[in-house]
Amino acid sequence: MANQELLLVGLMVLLILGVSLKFPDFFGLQTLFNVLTASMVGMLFAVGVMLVLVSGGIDVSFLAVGILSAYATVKYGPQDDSAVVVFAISTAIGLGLGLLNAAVVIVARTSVLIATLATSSIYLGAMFAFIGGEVISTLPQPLQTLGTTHLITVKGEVRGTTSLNVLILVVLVVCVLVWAFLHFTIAGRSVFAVGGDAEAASRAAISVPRTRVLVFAIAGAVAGLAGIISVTLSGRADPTTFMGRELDTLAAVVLGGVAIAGGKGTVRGAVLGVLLISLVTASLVPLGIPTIWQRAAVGALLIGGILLQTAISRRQRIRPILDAPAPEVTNA
Amino acid sequence: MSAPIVEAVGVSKRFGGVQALTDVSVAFGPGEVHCIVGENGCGKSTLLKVISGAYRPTSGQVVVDGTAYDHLTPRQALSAGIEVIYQDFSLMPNLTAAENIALPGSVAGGRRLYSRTAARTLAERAVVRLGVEIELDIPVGELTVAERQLTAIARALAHEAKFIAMDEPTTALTWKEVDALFAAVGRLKEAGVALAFISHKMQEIFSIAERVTVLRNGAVVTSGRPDEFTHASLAETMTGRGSQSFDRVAPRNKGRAPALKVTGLGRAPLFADVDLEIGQGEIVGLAGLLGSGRTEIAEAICGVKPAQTGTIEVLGRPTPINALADAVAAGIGYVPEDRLTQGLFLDQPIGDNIVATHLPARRGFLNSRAIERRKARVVSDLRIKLGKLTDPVRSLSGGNAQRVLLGKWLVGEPKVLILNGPTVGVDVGSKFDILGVLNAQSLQGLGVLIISDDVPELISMCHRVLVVRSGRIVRELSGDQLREDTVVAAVTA
Amino acid sequence: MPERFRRVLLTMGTRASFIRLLVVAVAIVVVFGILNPTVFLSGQNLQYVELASPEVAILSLAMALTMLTAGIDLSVVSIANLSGVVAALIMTNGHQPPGLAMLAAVGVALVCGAVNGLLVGYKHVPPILATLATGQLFSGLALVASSGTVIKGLPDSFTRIALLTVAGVPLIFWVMLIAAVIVGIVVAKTPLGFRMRLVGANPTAADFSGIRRARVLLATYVMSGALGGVAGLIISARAGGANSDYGSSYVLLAVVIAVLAGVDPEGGYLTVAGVVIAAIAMQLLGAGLLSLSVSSHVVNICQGLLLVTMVLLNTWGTALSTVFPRRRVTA
Repeated sequence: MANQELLLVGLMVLLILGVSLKFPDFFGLQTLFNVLTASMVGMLFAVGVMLVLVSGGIDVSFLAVGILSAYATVKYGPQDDSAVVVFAISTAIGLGLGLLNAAVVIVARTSVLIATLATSSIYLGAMFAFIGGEVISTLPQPLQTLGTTHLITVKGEVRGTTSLNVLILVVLVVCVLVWAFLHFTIAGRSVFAVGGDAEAASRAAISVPRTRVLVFAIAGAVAGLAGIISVTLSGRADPTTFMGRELDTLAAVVLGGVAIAGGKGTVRGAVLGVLLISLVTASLVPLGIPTIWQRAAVGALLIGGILLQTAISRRQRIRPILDAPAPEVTNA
Repeated sequence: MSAPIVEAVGVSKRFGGVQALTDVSVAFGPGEVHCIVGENGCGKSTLLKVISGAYRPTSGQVVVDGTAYDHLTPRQALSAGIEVIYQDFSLMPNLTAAENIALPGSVAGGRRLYSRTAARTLAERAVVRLGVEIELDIPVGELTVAERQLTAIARALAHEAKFIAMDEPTTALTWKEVDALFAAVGRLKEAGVALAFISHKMQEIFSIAERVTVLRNGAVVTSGRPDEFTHASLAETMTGRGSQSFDRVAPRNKGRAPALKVTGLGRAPLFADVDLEIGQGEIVGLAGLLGSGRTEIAEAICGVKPAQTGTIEVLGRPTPINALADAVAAGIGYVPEDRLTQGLFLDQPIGDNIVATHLPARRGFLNSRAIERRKARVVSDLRIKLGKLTDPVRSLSGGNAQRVLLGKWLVGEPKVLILNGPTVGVDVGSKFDILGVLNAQSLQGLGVLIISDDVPELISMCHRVLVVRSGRIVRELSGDQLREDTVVAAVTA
Repeated sequence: MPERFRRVLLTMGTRASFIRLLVVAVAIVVVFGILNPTVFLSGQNLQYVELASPEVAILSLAMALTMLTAGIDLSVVSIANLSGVVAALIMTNGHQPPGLAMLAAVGVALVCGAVNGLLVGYKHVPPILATLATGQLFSGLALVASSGTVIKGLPDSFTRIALLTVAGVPLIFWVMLIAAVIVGIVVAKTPLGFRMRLVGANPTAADFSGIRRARVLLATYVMSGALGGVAGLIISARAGGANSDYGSSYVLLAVVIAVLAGVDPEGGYLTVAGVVIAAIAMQLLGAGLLSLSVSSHVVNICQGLLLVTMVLLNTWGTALSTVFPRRRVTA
């Protein structure tokens, strides 16, 4: 496990211990479920962003892809087909939008940041202009059912119950699949290679465009899935849900040790980054800090994280040249 | 000669308006080491990239094992057993050495699944075959330059190649590692592999080549067995000019305060107790193997990586140097080793490159009149051939770009100029140009320190040579002792 | 004088992208002028553009400055909002005069910029990372300071700034022009600007040229921060209030405008005139589309499409004209 990931885990443990000292209740399933529920959608987005980052680009269109896919699916998709079909449609739309991203990046030969800036404003504009901007608060029946299908429900000691939605399993499966893709397939290793040095990768017989297309397709599909999960969990389709939150996800991913310059990152790191931020949010209130401090706290945490990351990456191994005593100097 | 394994037939390559290769035909036979030589920009590397499929030729074909390709892809080339060791190594810095070695073969072989242990085994075997040691499990970006070069070589050896091309494979290697490489080349030859070898180093060419092809301006000038050439005739064929040499001129300003005096310079664990003195108008060489500490000493004097102990005096004045800017203010100039990426702003105007370091300003604003004067003076003093001063440096030929780099420092009228490998990777023609400029400047009192492992060059240029070993100056050679054999002996002892 | 003027213009950019930008800007005016002359060419519409452009243009100038050094400032809108909130608090809760509040706001912006500059220049944090993080911090602080609400009740003497006109042109438009001229002079006429360009073009070569890169970067981000502060004041004067996430889409818009202007995100090139024209062109495009009474969301689509088109032109336009095709290092 990389240094940064260990640090994140350490921080989380410290945070949990610190709060638990004050409120022993904090250390329990309720907090776990709350944090996981708050992180589910973020984790998926983060995994997609991580994948694109590793391949050497900054994707800022993932939220637009996610909400457009989900909103279009809810509005025009089947209303009483099984949830699997609904999810598949949203994922497929996401995949299509991801392919469109890839096309712009490859054809215009521009940076991913610029390309996805453009496509995200097109996607969002298209959604509001052609699909609609009103909140849909009555979801298709299968989604409503799914939104209240819980894996586990525990009774709180003080108040109500806390549940963990069954969709957490979907999130876990996606994370594992992406992880396996990155580590056990040649295509996955190619993503790292392209992110490390695209020119060198292409000389090593790796098709850079094909790798890019694959990355954007996966990231798009994951975003489409994240969008529909978010809609299902919240019980409504609000096209403005994610507006302007792109940098939050990027921040979480960076906190997880994913290199912004590409070529380095893990699913584990991205997930940990999101979990840490949710945990910080969950800890603020018991610690007596108004939740309004959440953003500033995450910002401060992030600055610490990147300072550390930079210091580590700049540390170079120095090979000692000097050997012990001074040799005899001969001036002839 | 038996049927060639790889052959370039009438290959031309054009980049926009630049004709890089013109109708080049070269054949590489089994078990033969074929050296491709020529000046910088003659098209050697472009030719290799066409053969490896990295570039698509404008016209012409690459024939591999009897199959002709108009456009070979890197994947086809790798599958056909063509391996290239690129000048820039072309490694993925974020992947481990093992993975860099193993991945291309897996990709070209169309495999889908990746196994770390299999990759590790394959890499280990390649490294053992090469007979060197590389740390296989850390990212290549954290390796030293020499290790990276060895990784690139090991990668080419990892698969059952039929043809291996090496583009300046020895620049970063120590002599021991070069020996290991040459031994591996010998074994490959016996196994019937065709080898292409690109080098600037005459000694290497003559010791390894069985066939030499000279490229000039993107076209084949001549091709033959090495015994048909001498060092001089080969150099002449490459440049198209007669050979030149220098007469060393005795330093004139002896007795006056030294241009540079360094006492007790040290930085653990890199170098210690470095004392050296350069008189005005004196050219001093700093010789040492790669990794001996020669570059570190130079970088400490000019503040790139400052020393921890010791003093530096310029013209007798003590000057604390903690950054390159301090050195510049004190009158020390530093020409780094990797000129194109470290020395020049390739996409910026030629004129702006010239004044980048010494920028005339008045009351907080640029003094444009003084700036223009300086630009004009450097261009005329150093006889830089250019279109417009506003053209990017990229548009210049190699030799002229070198002069811009020298001019950038000389325009500030430094007292001392430190050059790290001033002619590494520089073609024969430009080399003489650079050395000529230095000689002329030293006559006007400039103290020059040249760091190099090109012993003949040091001997032809320097009044004295200091030898660095294990981070200390261990010997000083001058006068009659300044001979190739004595310097080599002192360096490698 | 004309010669001198020409030279100043030249330093602001002669690239093909700049000409394309001019063509696009003129085309927008002509097309909408023909499609709906009564609304688009009306004084009211013109005034809307004059009032809406300055904040965007100034933020884009800040972004472009950092891009000149091959950086980016994702925190610039957060700085603007934090400055706006600070000024608003001083005026409302502190009952201080607007002048003092504005000074304090710019002071806060300078400090924020200095934090960015320290991280980027002295701690070697990649700019995109550093400003991503500080952006969260600054907007988080603004959120806390404003208690998550819009601070209302700003004094008239402050909000009137957004309404004042000088010589028939809104004061804030003049502020934008002055900011542009100052940035233009710094970039083209001072050693700092010269060095900013070189640092952006090749940081390693800048180091090896004896340029104190950290200082140059610090100055760059301080300037960017200051521009963010000015933009924040304009925003809150116009809105009559301040809050922590006003105009969160401006970060991306500023990048879009800088790129439209032909500023190279890889560093080494900046055109001040281009940035101002691109910012105005984007506002004209928005105003034009709205004058056709299409949905405001079509404006988003068109801005995105315009960006894609310009990038395509910048990539393929040069390849088509083949005057100076980009070429790889050959040997």
